[in-house]
Amino acid sequence: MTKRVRISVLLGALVLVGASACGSDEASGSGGSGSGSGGSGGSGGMTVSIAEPADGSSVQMPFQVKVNSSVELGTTESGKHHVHLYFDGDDSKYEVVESDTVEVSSSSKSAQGLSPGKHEMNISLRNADHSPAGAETKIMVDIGGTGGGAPQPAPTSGGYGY
Amino acid sequence: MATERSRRVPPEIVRRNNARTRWFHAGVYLTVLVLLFTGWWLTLGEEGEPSVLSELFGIPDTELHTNIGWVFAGLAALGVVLGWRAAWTLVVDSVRFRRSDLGWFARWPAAVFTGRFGRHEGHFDPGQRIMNVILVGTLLALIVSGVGLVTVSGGPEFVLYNKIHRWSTYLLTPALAGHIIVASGVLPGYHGAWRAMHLGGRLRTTVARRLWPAWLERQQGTSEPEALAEPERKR
Repeated sequence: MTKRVRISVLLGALVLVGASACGSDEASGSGGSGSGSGGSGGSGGMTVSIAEPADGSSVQMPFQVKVNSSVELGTTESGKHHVHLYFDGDDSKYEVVESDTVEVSSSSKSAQGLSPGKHEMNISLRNADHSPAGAETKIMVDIGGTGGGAPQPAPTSGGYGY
Repeated sequence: MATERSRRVPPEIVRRNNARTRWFHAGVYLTVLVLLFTGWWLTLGEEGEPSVLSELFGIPDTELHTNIGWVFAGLAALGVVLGWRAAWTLVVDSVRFRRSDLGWFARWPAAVFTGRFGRHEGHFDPGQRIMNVILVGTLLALIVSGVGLVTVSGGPEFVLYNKIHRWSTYLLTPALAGHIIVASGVLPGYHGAWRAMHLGGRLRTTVARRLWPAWLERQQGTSEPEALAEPERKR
């Protein structure tokens, strides 16, 4: 085998290894998805939904998000599932939700630079290793400016003005 | 005249590592540096905030860490399979210690600055051997635990793999920092050592004599330094 062929084989094998890794990630993330606060089921019958705020409601920064998950949430160190919360489908910036509630403020990673107005709020149930567990959902929220003061829980049902 | 002539004569050089070893070393340190950066980024609570590398590759840091981890694991596996003889040499030479190495250790603190190291008989110096054991051991633990983490995804086994992964990182990080400081040649005693793994792997025989005297003697026992295109061992 010539030196050039040997190097090509090496590089090819590395690409295959990398590609298989990417492929396995996509496969694990191909679970169910849906919209609305009712949540969605994914692989293994796991479900996740947004209990608060309600779909279509108006909120003021900071606000609390309450998550309902069919599996127990916890830290990565505990080996339990957690939830990624992000806006407008941009899953590169997200909050790590390790319990059933999280406060979103203007300084939150997911909300930095978010303009006031209507936004899609997405949540995705994740395995402890951060790979998608196959359950995700989204709702629409109308986000006001920074209100200051204490966190303001959103209503549990129906939308309202502010 | 003599001075002018000596200026024209190229310094005696010796090749410490062949091209395959140097490329493997480069692949390892590039992937490991990306893994360390993304790993510490996540460990320090920055998950969800894209790092520079995350933005560069266009994927979250968690995904980047996992994908590069697979590439590193593949690289390590290929290195062992295709370079099994070099891998074996690395292991055997790294765990072999002689009584005479004690003298090397005694002189090491001062030699780091003066370059007057004690003599040793190994392919690697005694400090390098300890570093090899730590680096290879922790990297192996990181590969095994990393594969375990993505295989089980969660649960009690995940907790165990996660602990191994974290503690291996805690041990690897300062060891790797030490390795980089020594190998970069910023310390006077190790000046010129970086060339052993870069730009052709050739270094001055004066540097080789200072760091690996017995290895150089074995090299010179077979041929002239200038003609030493291949190292004593295939690594």
